[in-house]
Amino acid sequence: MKSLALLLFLSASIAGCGSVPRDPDGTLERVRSTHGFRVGLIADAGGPAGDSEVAAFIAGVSRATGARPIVRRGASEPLLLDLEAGRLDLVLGPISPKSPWADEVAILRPIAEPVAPQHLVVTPIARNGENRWIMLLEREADRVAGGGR
Amino acid sequence: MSGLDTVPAPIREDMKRAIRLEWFNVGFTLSIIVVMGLVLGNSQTMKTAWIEDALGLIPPIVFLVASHFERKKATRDYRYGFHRVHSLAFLIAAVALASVGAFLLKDSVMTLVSREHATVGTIHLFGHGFWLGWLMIAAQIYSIVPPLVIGHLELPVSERMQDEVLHTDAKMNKANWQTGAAGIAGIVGLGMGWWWADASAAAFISIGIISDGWKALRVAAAELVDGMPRELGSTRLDPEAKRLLKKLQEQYPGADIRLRETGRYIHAEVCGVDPDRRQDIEALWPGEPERSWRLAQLSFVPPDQD
Repeated sequence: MKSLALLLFLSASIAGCGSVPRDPDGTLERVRSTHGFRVGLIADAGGPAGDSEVAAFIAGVSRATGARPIVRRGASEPLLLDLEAGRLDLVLGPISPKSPWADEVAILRPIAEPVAPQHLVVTPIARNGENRWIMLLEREADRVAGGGR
Repeated sequence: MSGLDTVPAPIREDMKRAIRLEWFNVGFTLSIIVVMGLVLGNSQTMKTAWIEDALGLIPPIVFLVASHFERKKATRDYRYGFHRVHSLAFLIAAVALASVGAFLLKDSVMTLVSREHATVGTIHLFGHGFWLGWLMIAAQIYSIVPPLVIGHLELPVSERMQDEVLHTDAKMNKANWQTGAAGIAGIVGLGMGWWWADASAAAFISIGIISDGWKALRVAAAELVDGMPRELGSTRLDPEAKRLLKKLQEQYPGADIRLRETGRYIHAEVCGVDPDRRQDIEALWPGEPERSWRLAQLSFVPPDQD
């Protein structure tokens, strides 16, 4: 019972500090301190359906972190492997929530309309568990999807 | 014989109280399943806790079913009555408890081995974005309180009623609130960036749950194969049954005395002597008189029929 009280006290104390959640691998901290974040664009991420949203999203993340994007394009598989291994901080592209990658990476809310013919949507994808970084990306995704620039 | 067809008078009030507690238990557990289901997110710990809460429904439901049957009189097809339904219910509850422990251990070990980092993102409420972890902690706190209170109330009732199903349910409630506490530790750990915190806490707690479940399984199996009555919540022989055995051995030297348990009741068989019509079953009980209802039947097997 004492340990339960201690646990609740600990939760309340943590609730009082604003830096929760933290990233296990410190992604957001590193992005802010190095002033750079590494983005992978899946080859067909842009196109008429998603170009402006992708640009607006990356610009928003850049503004929010004070960091410059380091962008490279490629096929989805190698980019997602790099993301999982921590060689990329963010991947943008069309992905299905039912993709086998869905358990390995964090697929966030879409930022653009469906891309024909598979009706996939352009979505930011982050490393699993980097929750502070993910919250920032989600905020920017909501802003772009909501029409804000 | 008294106590065979109906619930004995000394535990009737306790039986009513236990049934009320179990209905509360079912109601609160259902509400916890709904609340937890709303904030599950991607957290494996939360999913595990949710499945455990669902499994936690098994002991109170089997208790309610068993107590319903226990109150029924013997029928043409079930001439011994339905006391053994309790033994069956106990086995089911024991399997549920052991399964919860095994499930929790497997899940937490897999999380640790695969170095799984749980993603817990943002939820929008009242126009503001919050970290979903805070809602998960609130849901976990809600999920801790009912099993903590109900389990605490069940324990003394289960002891007075000598009810293994209720006792196992009290253990299940303990398992549920401890898992909830581990879940809070896990979410707090995630918030601090310690991805391993929840799985480690859950693995630690699962060992105690598996031990309780394994113990309950052994006792349930002993009961179903007509082993000597066991102490409530333990694999040790029941001290009241041991005293009864000694008393019967003194009264019928040379006879083969057999004791077995059906649900909360003890059945005694004296083999190798003619029926003793002067025997008073209540006076024979070696423990406290208010628990003499436990000895439900005393049978004699004459020497030529043994």
